[in-house]
Amino acid sequence: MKVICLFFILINISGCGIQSIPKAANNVESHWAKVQNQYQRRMDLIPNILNSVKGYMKHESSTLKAVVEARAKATSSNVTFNNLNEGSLKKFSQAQGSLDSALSKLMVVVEKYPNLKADGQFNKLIHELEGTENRIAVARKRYIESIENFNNLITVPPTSFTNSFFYHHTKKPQFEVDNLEEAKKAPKVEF
Amino acid sequence: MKILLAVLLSLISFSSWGLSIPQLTGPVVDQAKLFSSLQKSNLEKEIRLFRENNGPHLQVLTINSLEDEILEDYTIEVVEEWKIGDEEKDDGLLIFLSKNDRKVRIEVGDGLEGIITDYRSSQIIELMLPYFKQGAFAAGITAGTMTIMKLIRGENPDLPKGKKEKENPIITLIFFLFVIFFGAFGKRRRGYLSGYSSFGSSGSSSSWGGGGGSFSGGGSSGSW
Repeated sequence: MKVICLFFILINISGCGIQSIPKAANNVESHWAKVQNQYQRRMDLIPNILNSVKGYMKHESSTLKAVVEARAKATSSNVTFNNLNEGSLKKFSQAQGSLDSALSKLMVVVEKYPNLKADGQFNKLIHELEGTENRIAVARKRYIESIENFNNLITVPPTSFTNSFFYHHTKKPQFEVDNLEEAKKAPKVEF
Repeated sequence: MKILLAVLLSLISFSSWGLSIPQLTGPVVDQAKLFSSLQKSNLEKEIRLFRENNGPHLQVLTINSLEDEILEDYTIEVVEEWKIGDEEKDDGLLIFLSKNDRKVRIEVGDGLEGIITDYRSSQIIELMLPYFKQGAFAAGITAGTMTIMKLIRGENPDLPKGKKEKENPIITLIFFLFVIFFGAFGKRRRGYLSGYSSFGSSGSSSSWGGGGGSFSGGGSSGSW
């Protein structure tokens, strides 16, 4: 009888988030790692882009400097999953956002240099950058979806009861909408 | 009651997509009707053969219009839905064309990103665009697909560098038409020789599906 009772309790619990909440948390964690990974990929590309650009752009030192500074700031504002909260995500988004705009300014300036646009190495890097911008957008979208699922599980009954009894997770922050718009308007390079 | 709820929920989730994703019927899903039946069966044969011998899952999709959906958003939805590529190798690749938007995209699976880099994808698109400008969509997609196969096999195909136009797309076009025609001719003859037993056992009727490969948004887009 006890066994049967336990069995039924377990069945009930399994639908109550005892498994799905940690799974969702892991999911969020891995998607956050991917977001960071793709932003990191972009930051790794930037020194190479700057190097290939330098020779052509003798008179654009302020534009280049802005990119270097924005990158340095973005590098220092990395957020680990455990530190992920409203404030840290906002800081992270802002740092990456100013890197976005520094890069788009650079791309506008590039238009003035036809020789640069014909440079094979630069061409290669620019396509990698464009691809990476898209990867960032994809990673962000997936993070947003995973967060939605996770936040639903920990705030909507009955799974929210399980959370408050066992896990004590708090809501994880979502990218803000205006940031989303920014991400969609990521620097596009048309040749 | 529960069933009703499930039906309602599924309706909601369907309507939240702006543009529906077509059924994965074979290697070439030609919604825009850009391929003749001969061109389609030839390219499908090549893609099937390539998948059997080398592994990677190449996929072609053409549609009429994106209906205001963002190109890159739609293609990633398609590859997620179709689960192109092997689950462990992540070796899927989608060549996508929207006719009325005059847009093309190559969406590269994680496992192929090392070979088909973003830059290479852009070169392949550069190679296809002259065909599209002349309305030779099937020939362009076929040329692009063949180039991708060569790259994956480790051969070194000629790829356009930078902005320069290729020498003469018409010659390449004639060459491909020739290949397509010849390929069909050869196939028909083989069909007659082997009799009826092979009819339906291979080719377009055999199953085709994804394996759960993952994509991160790598690749390149272009327009003409």
